[in-house]
Formats: sequence, structure tokens, C-alpha cells
Amino acid sequence: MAFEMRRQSKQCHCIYPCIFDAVFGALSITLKLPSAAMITKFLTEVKTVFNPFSAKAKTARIFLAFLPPNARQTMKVTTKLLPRVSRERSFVQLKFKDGKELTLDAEKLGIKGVIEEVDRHSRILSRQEELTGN
Amino acid sequence: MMPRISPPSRAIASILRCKKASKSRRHYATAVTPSTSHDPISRVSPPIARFPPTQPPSYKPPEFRKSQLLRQYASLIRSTPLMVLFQHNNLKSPEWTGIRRELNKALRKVDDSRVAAGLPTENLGEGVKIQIIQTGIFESALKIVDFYKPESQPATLDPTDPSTPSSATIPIVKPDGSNLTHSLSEAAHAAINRKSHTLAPLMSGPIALLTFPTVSPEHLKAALCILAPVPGQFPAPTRRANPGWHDLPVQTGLQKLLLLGARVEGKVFDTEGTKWVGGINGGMEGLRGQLVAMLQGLGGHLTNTLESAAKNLYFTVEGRRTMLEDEGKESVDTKAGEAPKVE
Repeated sequence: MAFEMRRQSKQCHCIYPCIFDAVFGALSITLKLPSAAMITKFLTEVKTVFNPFSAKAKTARIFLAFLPPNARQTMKVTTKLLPRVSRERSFVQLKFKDGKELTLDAEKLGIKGVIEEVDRHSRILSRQEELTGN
Repeated sequence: MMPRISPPSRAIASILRCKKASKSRRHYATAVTPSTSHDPISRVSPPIARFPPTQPPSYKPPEFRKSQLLRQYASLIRSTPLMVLFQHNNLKSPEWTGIRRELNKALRKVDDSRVAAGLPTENLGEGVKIQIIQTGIFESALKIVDFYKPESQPATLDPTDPSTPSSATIPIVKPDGSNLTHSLSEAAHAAINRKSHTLAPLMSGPIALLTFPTVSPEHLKAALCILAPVPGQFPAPTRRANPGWHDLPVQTGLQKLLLLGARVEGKVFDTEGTKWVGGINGGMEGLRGQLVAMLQGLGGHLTNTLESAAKNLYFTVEGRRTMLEDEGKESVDTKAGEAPKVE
């Protein structure tokens, strides 16, 4: 009888990892959503202008923080800081590998919006790259 | 059943009421309750502190890391008159190590040059630190330091100290800690509610602080030369003078470090203002020299101005006197000439 019990419990142990795998597998898929990381592979030039003392400059600053640690080797990053009294709008200017230029109004879009716009074009480029077989 | 002890008479009750301040309520063996208005025991303030002096009761839970970070930041802000804010964009640890090494080297050089110039040794360079902060907690620490100014600090009297007079009353802290004034207290929390600090917009994203123990433009200049070099005003060290600064990790790290602003003596400066503070020639001594020269010049002007009024008066009076004298002479002459005519 006791042997039977142990066998059952062993079976139970076997079942649980399968469930865990399924759950965590789903989680890891959700973590790969574009909001978590930005596709920076196709960017060649980034230019940001902002006044750090304006609350709306947050987007542009966080965008800079989203670039990977080796970003300065793969793309040209220029940042212009406006003086404290300046009322100019902050923006992010991008250039992609295929030559497309994008000027994003960072104040209106927010960081999620900016990333969405960047990824929209980056995904097109990555698909083209896959189709050409590089 | 009648109580064994009769309730106190009116006279005794009045004596008991007088003694109330020093003694707690008197207990009776029976269920008889005196009709006097004694406070219940729970509301009497405790005669001894019920907590160690280093651990006063706090509003925010002290066992959390963020409460301790808040205390640490508040103390940092109170002890740092000059701090520079940087944004760090994904710096790696070798890059941080390299930058800190170069910074220390440059600051030590400033200290050595001050000693060589005959100024007293201060070793400020060792107190200068660059550290990453938690922005949200740092913002509320800034607000606590700038907006929360408790009027009455609870006096720290040590009853074991022989110099304390025996008649001195030890400040009683309420058991719920509602009259405490430390950074984690309820009063501090209420004081910063719904207020926004000038530095608040900077408190988002990855922020690092460079803190100086005193306002020293020389050290700030040395630090800016390393961290945010500008050709001309803050020249980067040459490859021959300081080859370590030109290492690849330091250079890649510095590209990702962005000078945002500074807080000097409680005032907020932007990038240009920070560079102006760093560009004060000759440090604080130079600034004092400039001030003294200006005041001396001003003093000279002032004495001239003050003297000029007296001089003017003197010249006017003197002119008038000579004029009167001349007139007097003339009148005497005319009188002398006219007198025979009348006669």
C-alpha cells in the first residue's frame, strides 16, 4: 500500500514540472513584447534635443537610456541640452539603415509611443532582411 | 456588601488631587471609584524614554530599504553644498571603474597643487564621490531637506551627564512619536505633501550624483575636465599627461555620461550655470580676492562721494564768504565815499 502511495506521489512530481514549463514558457513569450526592449539594430543616427529642466523632457532622456551599452559604436548619437529657461519642444530624430529619417515629437508621444514608432519601421527592415536571406 | 475601606473624606480627597501630578492614580482594593477627574493611566506621558535614542519611533517603516535610503539621501543632501547631476546611459562596470579612477586621480592632483601652493591641507578629493541614486526616493529626500524645517528641535539632554542640572526637565516624547522631527517622522511626511521641488523634473531616468563636501570651484573644474570636457574652458587631459583617461573603457563610458545640472548651496543651476561655477578662477580664494578688490574700490568711491558733499559745502561757503567780504569792502568804500556828502 505504502509503495503504491509513493509511486503516485512520484507521478505527481513528474506532472508538476510540465505545468511549470508551460506557465513559464508563456511568461517568457510575454516578456519579449516590444515594450520591454527596442530594436536598435537598424538605427544609424540618433539626435535628441531637450531641456532637462522641463518635465516633458523625460521621454527624450529615457529614450537615450534605452539605447544599448554599445550604441555609440554602432550609431551616431548626438544630444543637445537646451538652457533651463528655454521653452523649445524636445524631439528625437532618427535615421535608419535604409536611409529613412524619422522626427518624433517626444513630448506628445511618450516613451511607449516613441518605441512603438521606432519598432514599426525596424520590424519592416528585419522582415526584409530575413527575406533577402542575410 | 459595604467596602472595607470607606471612600476618602472630602479633605483627604483634595490632598490626593494635589498630589496627582507626581503620583499616578491610587488603586483601591474594592470596586469603589473615586469621583475625582484623574486621567486614565494610558494618557499619562511616560517618565522614561521607551526607545533607544538612536531608534526613535518613525512614521515610515524603518526596516525597509527605501526608508533607510531616504535617511541616507537626506543626510547626504544636508552635508553636501555642491552636487552635480549626471544621466548615465547603460554604463558598464569597467567603464564606471575607469571613470572613478580618473576622477580620483584628477582630484588628488588638485589637492597636491593646493598643498604645493602653501594652502592648508584639506584632502577634499577623498570626500568627492560619484554614485547612482534612486530618483523617487531622492526626490522626497530633497523635499524633506528643503521644505521641512522643524521649529523646535527636541533638546537632547543626557540625564547621566553630571553637568545637566537636576532640575532640568527631560523632554518627553509622546509614545506614538507624534512630536518627533526626524526625516522619517509623520511631521516630515506631512510637510512635503503636494509640493514640488525645482529639481523634480530631473528626477527620472538613470541619474548619478557627483557630491562635494564643500563648494570648491577648483575641484569642480578638475571633475568637469574629466567627466564633461569642453575644449577651451574645461580642457580634457592630454594623452601624454594622463594616458589612463584615453583608455577605451573610460572614453566609451564618458560618451554615455550626460551633465544635466547642479545644486549649489541649495540653488539649482543648469549646464551653463554649472560650468560658470566651475569656471570661477582661483577657486574660493580667487572669488574672495575679487570681492575684496571690489569692496575696496567701492570704499574709495564712497569716501570720495561723501567727501564731495562736504567739499562742495566748503567751497560754496568759502565763495560766499569771499563774496560777502568783497561786498563789505565795497560798501565800506562807498560809505566812506558817501559820508561827506550827507554831512
